[in-house]
Amino acid sequence: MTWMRRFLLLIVLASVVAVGVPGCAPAPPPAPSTLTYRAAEDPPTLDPFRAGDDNSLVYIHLINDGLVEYVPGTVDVRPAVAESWTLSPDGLTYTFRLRRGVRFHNGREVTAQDVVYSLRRALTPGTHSSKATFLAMLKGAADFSAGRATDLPGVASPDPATIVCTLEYPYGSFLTILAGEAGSIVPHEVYDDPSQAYLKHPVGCGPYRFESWEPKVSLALSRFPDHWTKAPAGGIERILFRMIFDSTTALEEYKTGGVDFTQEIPPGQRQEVARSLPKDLHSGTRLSIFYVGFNHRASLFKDHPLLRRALLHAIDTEFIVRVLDEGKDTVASGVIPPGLLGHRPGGAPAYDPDLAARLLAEAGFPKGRGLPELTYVTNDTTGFRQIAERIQSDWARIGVKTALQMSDFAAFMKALEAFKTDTAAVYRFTWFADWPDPDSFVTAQFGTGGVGNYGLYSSAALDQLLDQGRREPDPAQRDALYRKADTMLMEDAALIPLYWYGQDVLLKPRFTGLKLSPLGVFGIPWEEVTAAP
Amino acid sequence: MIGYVARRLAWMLPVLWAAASLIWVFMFLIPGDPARVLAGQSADSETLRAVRAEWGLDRPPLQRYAEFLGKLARLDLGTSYVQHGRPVSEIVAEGMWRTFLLATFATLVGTAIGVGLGILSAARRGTVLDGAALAFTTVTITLPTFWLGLVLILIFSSRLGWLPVSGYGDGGTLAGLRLPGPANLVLPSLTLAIFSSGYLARVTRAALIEESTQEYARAARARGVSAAAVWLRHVLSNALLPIVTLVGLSFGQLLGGAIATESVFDWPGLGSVMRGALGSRDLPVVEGSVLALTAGFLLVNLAVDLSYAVLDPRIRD
Amino acid sequence: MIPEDRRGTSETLHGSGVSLSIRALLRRPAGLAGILIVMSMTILAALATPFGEPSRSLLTRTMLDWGPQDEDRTIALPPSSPDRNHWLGTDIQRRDFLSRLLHGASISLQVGLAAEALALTIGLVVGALAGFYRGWIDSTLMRLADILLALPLPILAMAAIAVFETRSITLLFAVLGMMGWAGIARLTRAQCLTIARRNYSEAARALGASDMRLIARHVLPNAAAPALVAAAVGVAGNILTEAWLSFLGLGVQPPAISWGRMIVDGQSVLTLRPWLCLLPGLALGMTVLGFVLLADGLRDSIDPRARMATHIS
Repeated sequence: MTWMRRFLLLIVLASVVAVGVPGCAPAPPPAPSTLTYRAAEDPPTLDPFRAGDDNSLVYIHLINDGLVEYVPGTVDVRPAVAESWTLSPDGLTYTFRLRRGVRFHNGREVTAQDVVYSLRRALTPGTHSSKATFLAMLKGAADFSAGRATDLPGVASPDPATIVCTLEYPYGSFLTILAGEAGSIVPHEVYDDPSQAYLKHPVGCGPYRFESWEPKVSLALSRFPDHWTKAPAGGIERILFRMIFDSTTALEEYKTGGVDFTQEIPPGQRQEVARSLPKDLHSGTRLSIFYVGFNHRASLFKDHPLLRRALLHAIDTEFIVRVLDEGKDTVASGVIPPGLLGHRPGGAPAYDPDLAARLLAEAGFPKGRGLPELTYVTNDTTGFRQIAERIQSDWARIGVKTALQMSDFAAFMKALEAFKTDTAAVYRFTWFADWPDPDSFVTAQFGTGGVGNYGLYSSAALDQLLDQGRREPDPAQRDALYRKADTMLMEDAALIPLYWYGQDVLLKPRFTGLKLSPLGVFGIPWEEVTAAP
Repeated sequence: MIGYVARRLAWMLPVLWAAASLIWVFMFLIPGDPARVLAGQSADSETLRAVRAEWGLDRPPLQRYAEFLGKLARLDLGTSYVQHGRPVSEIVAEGMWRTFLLATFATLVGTAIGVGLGILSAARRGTVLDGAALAFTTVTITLPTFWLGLVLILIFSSRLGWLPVSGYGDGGTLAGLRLPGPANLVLPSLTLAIFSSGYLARVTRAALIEESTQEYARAARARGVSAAAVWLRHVLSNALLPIVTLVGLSFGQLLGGAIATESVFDWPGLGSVMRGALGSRDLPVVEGSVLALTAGFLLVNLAVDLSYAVLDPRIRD
Repeated sequence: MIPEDRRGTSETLHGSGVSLSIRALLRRPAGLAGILIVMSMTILAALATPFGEPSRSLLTRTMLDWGPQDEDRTIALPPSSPDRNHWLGTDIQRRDFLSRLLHGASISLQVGLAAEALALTIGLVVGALAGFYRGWIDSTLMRLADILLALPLPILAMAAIAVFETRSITLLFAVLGMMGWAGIARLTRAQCLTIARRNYSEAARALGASDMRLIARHVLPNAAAPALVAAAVGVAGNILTEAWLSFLGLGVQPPAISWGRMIVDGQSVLTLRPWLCLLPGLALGMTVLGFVLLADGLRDSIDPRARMATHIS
């Protein structure tokens, strides 16, 4: 049987070789000054004027700079590309002095014309910009972005080192808008190029420049040596973004050293991670809310406010927050989160199933009889799925049947747009403040025609209040106005707030100087973080 | 033989056409507006109208179908809705070759394990070894592949730390293509291989047993030819036909079945591309991926069929 | 192992025709094990199917402390380890895991059996028609079947379900059923071709029996045996496909429980509580094993003349 044995041996050896040899060659480790950053997936866009999602904004904030920037870890602003500014006594005119020697990644020096170009671009109708509403307070912006005028008097450059922004009405948070992506300064020769190469190879004046992008695999940014700030000793020279879709896989990669930074701890692992990686875990809060919205056009919801309130009281929010999110987030008692004007502290959770049952009966659906099946629209991420199942279960207890409509994120967004008049649908939604002001929080979501108002809620009284709040210069007065708006929304059960987001990130301890931003992970100033070898 | 080959090739075309048309009909029937995907969710009707004209979405269905077929004949799969102007054929080719790489490795390993086990259990028929092999093959065909992948990750990555958890890794570049890290190839290939090896082992064993009971084998033994020579020269070569069939078919299966495994291991192959495109409603990419996978599947089956012409003398006439 | 008593038996006009020997099936260990597993799983599935108002299964009403949707609020830190109250611990939402594991059988078996029943029905009818009438009916139907068999069906199924956004169980039945009929049609047709040639059917036709009658009472019962074997394998395949679809998020929706979905849910705590992921996979494997063994047993115990046909699939 020697033939046989030899043959078999050959087969066995072949398999061992096929499996074993590839496993023996280790990959070279990245340089110590490289940060390997876990990204969930490819960014939908790298255009600062079109991006609105957490993912894209990370890159955009690193590649681009504006006239001002946030002080790390806070919502205060400090000079960036502008070295100083003055504000006129009536609060309408901002005059910026441009810093000298600021360069774009392609080598050209930044001039005042570039700033004017960029701000105009955000408002120009043909650029598919989604930031037009951000800058709506500039003088002449309304006509300009509607195409009715070709002049934008609100942005001007009297000399090559000065930019003047004039507003229609005083707006205290104007500078924070410029600190965000809407204030990105971009070179016109790149952005006007018809080949649109900037979408695949963006050019800005920020601390990091675009290096390479392998879709679905990785994206690399490297330190821009001619940036107007000097890199700290031991600063991060290169950021390598690895696309790892699943959060569990990402955590495993983090533990085995495959990534240095990840910002999503999979459900069920938070306690364990806090216990085993205490030096790696950084937690903070975020100006962001998770809520369940109603399709306010459906007659079922429009005509039965008591039904909406019943549904609100039927959900055990504390359970969701304490158990499912493991204490990372805060139970929301209103709409406006802590940290913004208009927040009402000290609210109690609304869970009361008996009250819910009573309200349901008063609404005309005792024990859910006569109530059609509701549809709950959500996307399929594990955490959101668990929440959906809990809400379905909670509502089933008072007799309300719910069908879950789960899909991927883009299909989810499509479903939100396509609410037909009489679909008895509710939807889960996350909103984060584009700039730290209650105006950015509430108006877009509940003002008539707001871009985030998928439920199409409309209340003239609320609209009036929000408009007043926007134009009111006195902060104490604004606080009172927005508190009133918040109360109005809750009494009308316009939504079911669940929680205000916290943020958890994991960063290898050899990196120091991390400061979490209340706006989100995209606000982390990586240019100020240092890495020990 | 020429006739056989020609007939098989000619058969491919109607099947491809049927598949392409079926896929196009699906995509056409998708509820929702691709113009919104292109222009952004909050675009106004002016922008939407312009986008529709630009992408030819406002033309009548039959015309769009004809254009689709015409472009397909030129291997033009269109442009991505989401990845700003990137041609679909580029996206699909990139994903395809990565999945192809995975499937090739998995087939090699799977064939080695499967055929080896098959030979072993056929040679030692009825013994404990045969029983153990049978148990192994039964288990591997009844357990879900993606689950096997998770188990392997649990053992080899989390507990033992020998292999990376996921991802493509970096193996340098070859002719402009980025190669995977060698260690990253192991677990995904092994996962896919385990599944196909079960089937292969069973079929190999059955084919070998059947062939060895045939007249010619027994006659050769009676003539004094050694058992090993009988096995290798006569039995194995005759049993090659069903084995080759299954190898080919399992390669085809791997192309498609890799979707869940690519998800578990974060392997950026065509399965991942397709899932991502389904999620972001990037219809041209979905169309292109499904077409590519179908074409790949058909081509592999064709190759298997053609190999019959070589292996089976009866067909050559 | 050719059953000696069947050799040389000639079919009669009124014979039962089903050339499956139940005794032969039970005599083989594989077939016996297969039948036992399949039966236990089916009984479990029946017990685990919810009904009534409020919708709870017989299992929950009578035997279990915790239903699959009841959360245990006394648990401090989910997911918890096994203890006296929860023999397999709880999942992330503090629901009893054993209860959920048992209830997963319901969907797997429903989908597996119903989809295959659909595939079997369509396949038998199509195959019988093709094999009996031959000519252009045969070539058209078989071309259709060949096209279907040539395509990578799981991918198309996935695209189909993802595209039509409802996730109803009926859509699953339909899609999986559509995937399975072609193979059965081919088998049935091959059988019918041989049987229709036999003398007895010509004799029956001479006696004036109508086409339908012939097909239904003489052709089909003889052709059914290999189709049943393929159907058993098909159920196994459907169960795995359903798990695969659920894993990708395209399967049934909560509150229905699917083992594939449970694997996804357990994935986030794979390293902490591996059994949340492992046990549903084993449950799937067990169920599939039952049907595969059953198919093996069936294949070995049918008439050898019919056995040749099973190798086509």
